[in-house]
Amino acid sequence: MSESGNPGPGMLRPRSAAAVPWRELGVAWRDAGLLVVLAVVCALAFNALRPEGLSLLRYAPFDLLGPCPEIQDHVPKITAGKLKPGDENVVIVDVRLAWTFMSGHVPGAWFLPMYETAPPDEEVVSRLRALRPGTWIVLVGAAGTVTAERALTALSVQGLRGLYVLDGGIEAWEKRHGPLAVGQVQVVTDPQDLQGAVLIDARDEESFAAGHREGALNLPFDDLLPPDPEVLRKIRAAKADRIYVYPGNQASGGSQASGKDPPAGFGVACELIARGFQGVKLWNAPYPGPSGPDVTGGTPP
Amino acid sequence: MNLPTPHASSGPASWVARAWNHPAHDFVSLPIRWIVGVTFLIAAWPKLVVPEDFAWSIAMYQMISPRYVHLLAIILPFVELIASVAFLAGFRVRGAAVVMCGMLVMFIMALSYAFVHEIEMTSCGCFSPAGARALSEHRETVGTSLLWRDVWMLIGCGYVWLFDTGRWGVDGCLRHWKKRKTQHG
Repeated sequence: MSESGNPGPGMLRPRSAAAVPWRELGVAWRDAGLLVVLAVVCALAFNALRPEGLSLLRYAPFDLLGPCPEIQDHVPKITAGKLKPGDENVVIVDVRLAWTFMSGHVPGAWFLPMYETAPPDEEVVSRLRALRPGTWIVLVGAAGTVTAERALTALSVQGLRGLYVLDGGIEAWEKRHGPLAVGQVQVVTDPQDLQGAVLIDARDEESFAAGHREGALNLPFDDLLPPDPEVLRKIRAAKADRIYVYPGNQASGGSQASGKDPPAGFGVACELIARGFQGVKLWNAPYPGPSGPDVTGGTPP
Repeated sequence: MNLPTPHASSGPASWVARAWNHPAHDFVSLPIRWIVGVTFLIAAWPKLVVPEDFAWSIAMYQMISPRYVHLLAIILPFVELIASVAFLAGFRVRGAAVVMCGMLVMFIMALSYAFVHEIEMTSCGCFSPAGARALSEHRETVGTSLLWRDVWMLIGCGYVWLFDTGRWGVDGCLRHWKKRKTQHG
């Protein structure tokens, strides 16, 4: 080796004077950082330019791994004090069943009952989905908020965002913002204008088949399942201005709006009114009467 | 002037210096770089083309919050691609080796996690994310061969980080060009 330190012809150059090239090994970490930064920039740019690029954050991929406890652990709750009645950026959705909704609800609230064994109403969900992005959807249930939390999970799975549960439920709203809107079920005892009206029999299918009023549709009262959409469609298609639901509870006149087990006729009448049907009246008379049933058999096609 | 050089001296430090800086390391690390580089390049391609499937594979490991699955599925294939290209081209070789080591440690941890928690999957998702779609049809526990493959690659990348000077590649060409420029300038 010459004095200048260059190897002679055919000689391998000594690579470092140090035993271990600490500096070069350290520089490798800097280079690694630069390579990763370059990769991240390229990746984000590539994803942004792809027409089918992925969203950077995914909220709850239930479709990948099945039910995820993530949401139940972190239920986004909101207090009544943070909400303003009539705020156009907020949609209040009442998730209680119809008769409790009718007994008192937030004025202007949407009705989306959460039954034990059924998913939320698709029609209401699609209306919620069509809301302006950024709108808060506040789910109102009873004070326990269990139903509202279940609704939040169900709606999250369907891709809805901006969901909150009202902390303390309907009672918290009433305490903060005053009186609730109460729905009334109009009661008649002996209707004379049956021509052109729709009759709804709220009893179970067996009782209906054993005998019912002529031309009546069967819409059994059930607090576990939503009403049959086909029957609702028939009622809507009839475009009648009067809908009589029977039988009513003669003793109370169907006016009881609270309680766990409302009379069948009253429950169905509440269901129809809460869903926006007009002219719903409760025919407050026992059925069948002393003269027996009018006709027998199932619902006509 | 005759100055003593470390190589001329004797003792343990001299022996370590000679062993560490031996030119043969570049010849040994070159095939390692190529094997690992090509492996990662092949692995990166399907993930780049269909990141949705790769996101599914990541989610299957159940290691990170589902919220960040997409982000990882977008970024990781590009890290693999750029590190593998750097490895093959011999550009910033030691830096690329550090990145490779980081990724391999991550993969080993993920596979170990799947072992420990007995997570069943048809594929590790390393090369064929689409294969993991058949989860419900054909369940198999991840084999240990996958773990050993990653361990061997980690050892190889560690060797490259410690001993490769980038002589065979872009780094070497740049150094050679700079040296000639200095000599002629």
